[in-house]
Amino acid sequence: MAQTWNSPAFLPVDSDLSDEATAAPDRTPVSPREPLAKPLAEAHERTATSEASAISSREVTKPAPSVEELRAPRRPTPLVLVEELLREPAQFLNRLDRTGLDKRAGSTTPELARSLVAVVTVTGALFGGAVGMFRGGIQTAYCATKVPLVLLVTLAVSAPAFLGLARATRTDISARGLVLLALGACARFGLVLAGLAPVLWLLETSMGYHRMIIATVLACAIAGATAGSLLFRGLARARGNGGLAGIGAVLVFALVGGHASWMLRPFVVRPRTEHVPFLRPVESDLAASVAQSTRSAAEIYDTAVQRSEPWRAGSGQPGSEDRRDTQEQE
Amino acid sequence: MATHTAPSPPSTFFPPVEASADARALPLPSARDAAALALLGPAVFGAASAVGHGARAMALGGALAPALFLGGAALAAPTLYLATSLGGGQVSAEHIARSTLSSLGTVGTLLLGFAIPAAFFSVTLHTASAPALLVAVLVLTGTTGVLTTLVRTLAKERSDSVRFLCAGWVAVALLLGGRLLSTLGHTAGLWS
Repeated sequence: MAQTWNSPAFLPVDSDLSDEATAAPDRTPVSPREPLAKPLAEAHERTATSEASAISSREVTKPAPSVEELRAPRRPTPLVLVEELLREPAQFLNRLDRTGLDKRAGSTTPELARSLVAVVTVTGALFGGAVGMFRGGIQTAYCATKVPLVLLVTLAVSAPAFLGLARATRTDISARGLVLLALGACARFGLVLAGLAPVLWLLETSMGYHRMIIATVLACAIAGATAGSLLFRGLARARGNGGLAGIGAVLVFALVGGHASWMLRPFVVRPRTEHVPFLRPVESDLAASVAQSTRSAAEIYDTAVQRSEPWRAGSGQPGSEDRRDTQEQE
Repeated sequence: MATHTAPSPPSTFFPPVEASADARALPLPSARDAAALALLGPAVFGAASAVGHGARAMALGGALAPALFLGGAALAAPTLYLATSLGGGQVSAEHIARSTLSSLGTVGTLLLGFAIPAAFFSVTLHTASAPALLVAVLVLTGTTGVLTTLVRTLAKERSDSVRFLCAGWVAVALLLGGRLLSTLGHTAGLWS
């Protein structure tokens, strides 16, 4: 007879186990008080039989969990996701493997998406609040509303580009998995921002307007790097040229995110500004603004601006500070 | 009398294209799908990138973007065939046509994905950065198309001379694309 992999000849014999099994009846406790030994042994036997029948009845009503089920991740509540996104990103990616990356739609997908959106909203609001507190008042509420909006708008605009990049690079990832991965990256972005918010709030007292802008951009750059690494790692895990798709996705996310934040400005407003608009009219762009703020932070002012708008260089005219404030809300 | 060309020795300068990585990726779309994507992707991207400038601009963008990519491929593909032939390569004209078509499909897929961000930027960005961004995307996508064509054409080619000539072809193809972009941009008034 041909031997298969599970025929007795191939199965390892656990000598200890077999010895133990055969020796079990002999190991009935032997008491010096012999008359009690037999009833005790019977009681042991009865208990063991009832436990065995209880176990077998449970097994009939509910099948034993499989190895996959035993290894299944915890329910994707926001708190569980916070821990995974910051401390164990590989665990988060394993979770995505189950729900979307391998094209198997998991039942936890909607719950996962809801939790991620909740994380993005709350963390974005925390960071926005900290940035808005530079001016305080209504600007705190405005910023707390606008930062989550920036993140979600960026995700909505970038998602089709991510899918296009994945398909063009022949990366084997489902649309659902890709959206969840991008949401996870957004949530990580928000978490890092929320972690840096107290630092920013601490520095607000000692920083001027332009340095505050630079600090905010730096915080976003740090958060963007951590979010980009998650996005990149997630795409690189999929079959195909995921690394290439990851690079493209990070570039698109940075570009769209930067512009979306520019569209929803002002975020940093001078403390003395009286009236703060929720949104400013569309003008200029982020790259020009960051360049100008960098020059201003280094106390290099454009001569053209000084000639045409002398109040921006601090001419000392009455009310010049107010005019400068309203013009320089970024 | 038929002449038999001796098979080229394995290249030592250029490492062979990794077949294993390619085999693990998703399969390439069929020729029909690639052709549809090659037409649809640039057209949708062109129209989307002019959403903020009215219907006429959208129509112009929808017509000029496919003209740029399909025209660029039509101009560059014969040069690629010439380069492989002069180098003594074994790549047939049909194979080059197929690689070019599949690369156009890849570019079309990319541009289809970029359509929504393009529309977003078209509506919200009205500075000098807007045409610069558009040109940057077109150049990057075109470069991707050229390199993809090269990789897919040379997947089975081992001759060093062919590979050197094809590296030169990349420069020619990019210059041809740049010239075409400049001409079409003038036609569309993109530079004014």
